Amino acid sequence: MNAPIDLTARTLQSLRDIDGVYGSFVISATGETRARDLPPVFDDRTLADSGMRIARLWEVIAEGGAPEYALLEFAEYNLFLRRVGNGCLCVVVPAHVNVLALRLASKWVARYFEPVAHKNTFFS
Amino acid sequence: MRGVDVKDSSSTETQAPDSSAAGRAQPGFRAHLQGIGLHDLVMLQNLVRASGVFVVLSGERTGSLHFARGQLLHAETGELVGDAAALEVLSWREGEFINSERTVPERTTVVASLDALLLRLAKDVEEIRQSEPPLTTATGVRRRMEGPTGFRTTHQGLGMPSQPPPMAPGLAAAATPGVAAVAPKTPTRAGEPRGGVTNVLVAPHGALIDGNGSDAETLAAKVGYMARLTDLVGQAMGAGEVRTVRVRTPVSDLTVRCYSDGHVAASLGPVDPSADAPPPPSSPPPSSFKVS
Repeated sequence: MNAPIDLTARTLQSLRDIDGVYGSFVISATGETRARDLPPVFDDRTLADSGMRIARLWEVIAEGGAPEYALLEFAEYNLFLRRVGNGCLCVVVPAHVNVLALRLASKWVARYFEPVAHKNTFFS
Repeated sequence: MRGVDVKDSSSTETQAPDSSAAGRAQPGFRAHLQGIGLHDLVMLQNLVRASGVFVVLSGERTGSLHFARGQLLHAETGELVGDAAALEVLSWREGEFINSERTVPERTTVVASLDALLLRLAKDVEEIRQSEPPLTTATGVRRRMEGPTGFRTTHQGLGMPSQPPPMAPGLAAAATPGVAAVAPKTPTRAGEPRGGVTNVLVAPHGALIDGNGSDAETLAAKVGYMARLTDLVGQAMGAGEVRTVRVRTPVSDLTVRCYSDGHVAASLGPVDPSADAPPPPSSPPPSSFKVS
């Protein structure tokens, strides 16, 4: 059974309450997009290409200890990563984002995805 | 390639020196200024009724503006001459403004007055600003994914070629934008040894250059791969160059700094709560030209 889409979308949208957040998406352990709340310019191909690499990166990062989060800082914007279920929550944020607030908000989002991950096949 | 004589010590080549100007000392001061807009520079020439040829370098683009008694008589860049060239050159936002020793030619190709040209540019900029949606990261990503757009459309109707003209390769070598973003300097050593902290400096090909702390080699291999994967993520998402990767675990902070030359420096140590503090918002640099 799939996750309730509306609630999933609404859960991701809650991250936008944090000043500056552009959007977010969730990928499985293999990098497939499982949920998204992003402007349309981030098309499926973009997410497919990046999802695969983010999944591999997350695997490397998690080697030797489960990280709470990772922040990838680029010239244009940043990407905040956090584990959800077997996958990864990716939040597109500006450089000046409040990381503390993002950590708390993403924790709530991760909680939503945990039961989904365990009871359903969201991340399989 | 057009012959342009630029007296610029940073230039690696000088083309077609003008014998009539050779050895003629210019009276007055020679200025080395930085952070001034091109419009201000040309208005200054107008104000002091200057005569001379000024070469404008901006990235890989080259143009020249010819003044006689403060009036802009001739302009050229690539295949453009006259008003179209003047508008094109004056739309460049940063670069170098070099007083060439070339003599002012007789020809007059710029019809519009300098004031009219600058006014038109100001209007074009304003129209573009109003017609564009606010620049969000999303639109920025889309633009980057679409690639460079070549010439802007602000000068349509003035004989703008559909393809960018070939640049003058000789002068391109001399271009040194005045206020380019300063890339952080690659360190030559890993961070200072501290208790409980592992520091590494990794070469672009992944070899450990310098390191201290426990298991520096393992950390070097890990961060080298992390940097590469992050770079690929940035490319896929149109996020630009990777700067830093920060990883927080319940007991440690890992900070990986990526340099534009491919070197990677990393530090793994106890949790640093200050790492969560947001950096101050940065404002875009103003348009500016370096004057030689």
